Amino acid sequence: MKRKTAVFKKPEGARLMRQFMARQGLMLLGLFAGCCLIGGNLVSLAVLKRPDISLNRASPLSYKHPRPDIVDTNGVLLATDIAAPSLYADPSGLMNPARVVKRLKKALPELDEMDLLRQMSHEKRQFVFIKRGLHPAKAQEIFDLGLPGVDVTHEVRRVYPKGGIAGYALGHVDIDNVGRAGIEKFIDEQAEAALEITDGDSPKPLKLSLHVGASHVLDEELVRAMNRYEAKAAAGLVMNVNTGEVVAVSSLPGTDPQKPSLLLDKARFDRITGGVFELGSVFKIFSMGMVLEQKAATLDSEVDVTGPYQIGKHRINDFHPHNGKLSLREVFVRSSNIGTAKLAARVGGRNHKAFLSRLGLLQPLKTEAGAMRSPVVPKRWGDVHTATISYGHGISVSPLQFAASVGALVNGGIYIKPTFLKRSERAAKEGGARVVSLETSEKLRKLLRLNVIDPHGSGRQAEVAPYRVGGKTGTANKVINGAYDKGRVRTSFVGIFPYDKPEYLVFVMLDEPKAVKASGGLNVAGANAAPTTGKIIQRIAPLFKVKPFFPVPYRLTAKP
Amino acid sequence: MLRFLTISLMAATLCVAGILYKIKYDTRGLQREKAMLAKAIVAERRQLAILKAEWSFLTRPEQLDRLAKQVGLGQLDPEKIIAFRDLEQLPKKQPLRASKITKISSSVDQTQQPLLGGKQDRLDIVKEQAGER
Repeated sequence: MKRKTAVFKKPEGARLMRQFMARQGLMLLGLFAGCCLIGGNLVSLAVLKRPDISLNRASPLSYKHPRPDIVDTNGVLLATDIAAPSLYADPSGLMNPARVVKRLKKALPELDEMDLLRQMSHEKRQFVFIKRGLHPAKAQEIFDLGLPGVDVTHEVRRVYPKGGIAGYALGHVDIDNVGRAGIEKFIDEQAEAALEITDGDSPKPLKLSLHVGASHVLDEELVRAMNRYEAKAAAGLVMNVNTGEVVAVSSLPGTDPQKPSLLLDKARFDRITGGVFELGSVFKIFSMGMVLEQKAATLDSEVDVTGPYQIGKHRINDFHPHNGKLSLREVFVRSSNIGTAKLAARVGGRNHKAFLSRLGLLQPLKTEAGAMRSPVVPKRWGDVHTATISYGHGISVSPLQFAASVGALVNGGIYIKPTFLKRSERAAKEGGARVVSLETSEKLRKLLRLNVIDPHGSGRQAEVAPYRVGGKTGTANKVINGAYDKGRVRTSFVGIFPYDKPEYLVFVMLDEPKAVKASGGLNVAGANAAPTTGKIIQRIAPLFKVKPFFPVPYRLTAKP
Repeated sequence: MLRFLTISLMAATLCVAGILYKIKYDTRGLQREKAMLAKAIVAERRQLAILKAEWSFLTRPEQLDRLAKQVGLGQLDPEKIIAFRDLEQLPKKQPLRASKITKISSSVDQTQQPLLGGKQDRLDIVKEQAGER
């Protein structure tokens, strides 16, 4: 008892009090320090810019910060985000859903009345989508009907007002507006590298090298060619040879970026970047370029083209057999396989492979529209391969890769990586690499021109007089179940214009054209792909302000 | 003296309080206005985006092709393209050298002259025909 009271003695109490005060002081100090810490952090967050802290793109912010528009080379809109109205209903408070559905059906005839009524009759449901992605005027019209429980909300949608133009290159987005293929995917990849939040303003549009008008012409002429020659598929591209810009691209059957489900169809794939093909004689351009560049022959060097030409077990024949000697010029114009193979043999397999590699034909290539199918190249490069590859067999490349390499040979000898984005000639040439000399390039252009104007030339039907076209045909038998099928061919034509100072390159490829009357009962490239190219050039040359050439004094003789 | 000071300080306090109240009230009003404007801007932007998309849709090349054919415009004949210096030499009536140029000058003179002023306008016609998109 006595002890207990002693606890409350005065000096003891004062000690406890002091202790209490000290603890309280300590606690306050701790709190103060904590506050300072938080405050300091706030200041540093608000005042100092921290690059490591950024917003996640997948967050709902994507609504406020939409994808950039995609525009063509002239600023014509190709893809944009719009807030599309979607119509929904809250059926929980509805007295008479049947009446509402009936009036909706009247305004929107495409509605499934039974299904909607079933959903609307569900008493516990509070949200039913009636129709998503409506036209704004239509949505307003229905909203104005004042139907009970029916309301409008807005959802971001990617739209492609030009339809299927350059559909494969543009790619598509998924339901969350994230790029899944083509240039749309490229935008997302770029955005991850440098996401810039512009406070509600739309991001800067992405300017492509594509030209809507030219792409349309290409589409239209290819459709016509497919019908005229009863081809299964077609593809084409137009490229600026001085900048590497792809200005028009088309692959038929085509696609629509708005409907990615079309791509489930096996026949629908991008034949320009997504497929590799044995292109045939158009490859002779590379062989001639190589032979001339390595000075293994001149334009007048003669070779014996009497067939057949035997290499190991392989026997080479010509489509138009000729007995005797032909000059290099004639070998090219008459598209002699034997002559080309013999000329290529002078250079040798190792040099051949190195040359094609420098032209970018053997390595995988990537553009803004995505990675392209890698070329199919023989693992071992023997004499037989040099012979067959010299005329375009035994090697498969995608048309865009092929076009870029031809562009390098004709533009003065500089390889420029193809692009789908707008680019200046200076920027292109700076990033380019010389592959052949100016002189070789000029000789090749003359050969291409000769093939179009010579009476024996296979490209005669591609000529559009004022634009002075040069070009080469290619007819390759298709490989069906591992063997060449003589009846089925893939024809192609690569044309440049104007030949002396080329600005654009046009490539056309037709899949299994038939020997119809329109092509004079033939199914070779000179009778279908060549005239198609001519028609395309005639229509697109004025779009790109290519100067026509009048009057007509040119005459490129076979032997100048 | 002290009382005067007290009273004047009180009055000043009241004044400042009043001003502060007004400013705060105005600020709220402005904030509301700003929010409304921001909303209106978003709505306008949405509308603009839709109109732009619609314009792009209505000017599809195939649509323009159809319209051009209706008004009698066709593919540009390369023979109708003349260099500037040739244009200077182009006489009003007399053909310059080739029969091709006669075709253009006569058609320009007879059918398009009443509508158009100078040479520049004729060039514009050529340019328009060239612009296929």
